[in-house]
Amino acid sequence: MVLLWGSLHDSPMQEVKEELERVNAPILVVDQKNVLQSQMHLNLLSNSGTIEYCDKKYNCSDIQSAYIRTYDFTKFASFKSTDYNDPSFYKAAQFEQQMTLMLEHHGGVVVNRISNGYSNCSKPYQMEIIKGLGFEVPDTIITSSPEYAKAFLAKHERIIYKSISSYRSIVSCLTLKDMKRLNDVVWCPTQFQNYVEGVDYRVHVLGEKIFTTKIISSASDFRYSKDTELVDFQLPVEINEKCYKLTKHLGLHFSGIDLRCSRNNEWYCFEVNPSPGYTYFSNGAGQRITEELGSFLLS
Amino acid sequence: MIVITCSNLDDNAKLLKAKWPNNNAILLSVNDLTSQGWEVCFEDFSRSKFVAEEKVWPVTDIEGVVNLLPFIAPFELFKIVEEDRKYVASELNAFLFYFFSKFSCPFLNNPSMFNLSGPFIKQEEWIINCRKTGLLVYPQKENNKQFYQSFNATHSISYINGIVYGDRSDNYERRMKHIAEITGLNHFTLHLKEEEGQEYFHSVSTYPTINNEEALSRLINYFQN
Repeated sequence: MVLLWGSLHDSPMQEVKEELERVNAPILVVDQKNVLQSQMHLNLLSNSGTIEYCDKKYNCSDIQSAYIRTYDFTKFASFKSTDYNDPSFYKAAQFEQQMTLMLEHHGGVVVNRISNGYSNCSKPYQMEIIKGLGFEVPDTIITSSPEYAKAFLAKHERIIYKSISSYRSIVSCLTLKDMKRLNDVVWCPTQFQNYVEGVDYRVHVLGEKIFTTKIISSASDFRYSKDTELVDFQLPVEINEKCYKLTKHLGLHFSGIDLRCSRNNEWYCFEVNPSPGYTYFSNGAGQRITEELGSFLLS
Repeated sequence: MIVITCSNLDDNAKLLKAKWPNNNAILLSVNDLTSQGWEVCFEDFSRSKFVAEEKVWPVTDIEGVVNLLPFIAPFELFKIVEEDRKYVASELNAFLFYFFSKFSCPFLNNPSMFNLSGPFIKQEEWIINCRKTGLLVYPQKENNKQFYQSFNATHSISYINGIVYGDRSDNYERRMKHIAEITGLNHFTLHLKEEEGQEYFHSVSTYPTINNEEALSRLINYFQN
């Protein structure tokens, strides 16, 4: 059976579930909102274990593949306790850890093992990997020195700032009129990049297949814009190859890669997402990623 | 200089610095991470600067790193307003991991994404690692967390950069080197429990022993050689 672990309020998880049901595939959906009705008995030494979920038992050995789209379980409304001393917190945390461990050591296809997504937790660290595989990356500094930040802004005239970690942030622009705001960097090293003018693309690499969406938007962060248009697109062959190599280098079966083609026809890569929320792009551009992902999990 | 990363509350780190020969060690505490002066250039990292003991230094001054700070905890960000601490802690963990990934000098130990003072290995995975090296694992340890509370270690063996020392180190030299190889650690202490003539895996620690002269001497020698 295919294990689906995450939240059914999540669009990719819901679509994959419906696709696997459409082809009558045996599935086990472990919804994180039911974490307090979940228990794992795992023996890594003998590579065996059982999952108890909502009063039913399942053998881990029956899991042929898995799709993971997990969230912070403490944020679910059904999980009332966020006190670390509460026994229910320990029970939930233990289950989440045991599930992660089981999937880390599972011999089947796991889309994607959580450890293979670690590079995304430090953006500059991931950027080193991206650059090493031949993509352009923006000029970048990380600083808690206002003068250093101001010199960077003066050099580029338009810069952006965004989070270093996987904490979600809105990419925001600064121009020369924002110089005074840079005095605030003293409290925490902040990442700045030069603003690259160009056209955005989101690439999904799934196994051997590549799906590209061209993004047409007026905002510096299209995710938060109302005028975004999505179009199915074919990348140049060499860019396709770089995206494929980058995904494989990171040990991922499925990735979401953010690209921008500059006005000088240089291809910049900003990020590789190891758990892409692909439905926004595939539905907007008419791509059959859900069907392919379902086939991939069953292959 | 040798950089010692540490919590603001770690007195052992101050002790280590005081004992370092030629005053050649400096503390990089959580307070320094939220201080003015960090300048990191992605394109030319050698031009970057860092903050330690509230002063700004060039990164080229760093000859080695002793990582006594596994992660930055939000509660310790005394200069940050409470509602921002979780975000800032996340940013600093990610930043410091990237920062140290740029160095090829000696580390004790090399940071990983979720553990700045070594690889992120869970207890269950330690049990697998021990089995690979032939170490005995007490059967009840496999799935009974209550058991750990009454299971006390009886002796310990340490490893640093190819050297094994401590109780019965001769018996464990091969296994300790094997553990180092499969985990990537260049320093750790293996704690064992002897029971009815058998020795069982108890736990592993990667925090160096500062108040033991032999351990301290070997730690300093690692960086000086």
